[in-house]
Amino acid sequence: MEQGRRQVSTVRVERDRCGICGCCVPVCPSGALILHDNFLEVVSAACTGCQKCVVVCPTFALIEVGAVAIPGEVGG
Amino acid sequence: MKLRDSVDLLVIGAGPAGATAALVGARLGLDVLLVEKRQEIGSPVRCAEAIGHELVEPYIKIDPRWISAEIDAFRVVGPSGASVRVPPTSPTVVVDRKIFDRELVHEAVKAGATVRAKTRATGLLMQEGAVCGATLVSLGQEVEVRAKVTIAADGPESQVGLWAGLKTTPRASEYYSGVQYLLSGLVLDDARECQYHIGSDLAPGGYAWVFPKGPDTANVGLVTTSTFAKNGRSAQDHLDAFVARLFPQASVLSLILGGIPVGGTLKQMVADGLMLAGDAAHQAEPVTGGGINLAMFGGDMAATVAAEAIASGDLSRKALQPYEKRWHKEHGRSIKSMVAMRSVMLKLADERVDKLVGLAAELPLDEMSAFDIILRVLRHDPGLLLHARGMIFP
Repeated sequence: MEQGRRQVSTVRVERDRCGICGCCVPVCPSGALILHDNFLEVVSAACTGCQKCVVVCPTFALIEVGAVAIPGEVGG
Repeated sequence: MKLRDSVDLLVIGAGPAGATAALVGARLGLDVLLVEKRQEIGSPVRCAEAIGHELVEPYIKIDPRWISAEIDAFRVVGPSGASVRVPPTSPTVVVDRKIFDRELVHEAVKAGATVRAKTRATGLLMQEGAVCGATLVSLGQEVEVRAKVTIAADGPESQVGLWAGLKTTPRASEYYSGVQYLLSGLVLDDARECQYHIGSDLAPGGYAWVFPKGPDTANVGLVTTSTFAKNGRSAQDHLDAFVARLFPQASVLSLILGGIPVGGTLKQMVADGLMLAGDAAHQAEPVTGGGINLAMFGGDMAATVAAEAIASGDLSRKALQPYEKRWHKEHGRSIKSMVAMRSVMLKLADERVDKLVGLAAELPLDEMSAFDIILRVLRHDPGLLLHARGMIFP
């Protein structure tokens, strides 16, 4: 793994499915989901890839994306 | 419109908990600022809208403008379709929350509170480890508002408690994923009856509901628990199947989504200078996930204790803790027994649920106390006693 990067799976928001309800926000243990007025932001650098948000979303609007290199600590 | 930079009580979130906190705080003579992140108070609607209307009367006069339907009975429909009609324990109405929420906030304004929509909290102001207000963004402008006490009533997605170090993350097994349609063009058998539909295929780890909003309109929704999920279907997939079966011709006037923490109220709801109320404090009823009445009690209780603390000059966690004590004294037992009841219901096989529904249908429920009903059910299905201990002796 490249120095200064960590590699985990993360999630992306399928905007057309997302109801911007915030159901996923409190179950995220790392505060990686931020509910804005008109969109849901995934802070990829904070996401640990635990997928808790994926299963609680009432419309399955959060999609797991495979391991991506994210600037940050090594490992993970 | 400039915000004042210092108030007695800052309330974040203008749903039923926050509006009631602002109303009660203002009635007790506090200088109150109530902020709502959304552009419009009451919108989008976030729930099935049923309330016990006698319970709201201390805060707002009953007004036909926000009553959509009066409810005579609840009907529980088991997995096989057999059902039992249950009388309500207190007079119940289905409200129009767009109007109800706004009118409740209006009551707070009449009592002297200041209100700002489209104003969100982005962080807490801290002084020597105590919360002393919040950073707010109001229409793009950032302002710091100092407050003697801050009440966070900003819903299940609240992050304010986390910012102050409170443990607010719900367990997956104690968290409902909810979806609801406002359906129109329906044929309802009884427009004065709220229905609950149970079944492990229908709504894994949850239930579906039909709450009438008028003769041909209803809130039709469903909650699931992710730990019971099967076949890779979302809550919305389950609701679509339910609607296709019951109301294939209906039109969808709105879609509502959201999560509900149902593990029982947080043990710790206060920090130095900060209190949580409503869904932010997990105050919803654990079986149904209904939360309007309890949220209003929570907001009232929080503001009452805040006023006492402000009068005493001590805003520490300890001075705010009577809120936790009073809450758990008044609602702790019933909430605990509902937590136990939810876990029992989720364990029962569909056949057993059907048998219990069949038994209940033969009982004169109108004339029986809850205790009599439990005794009869246990005589019929003694194995339930093992599960039911927690319900009877919480």
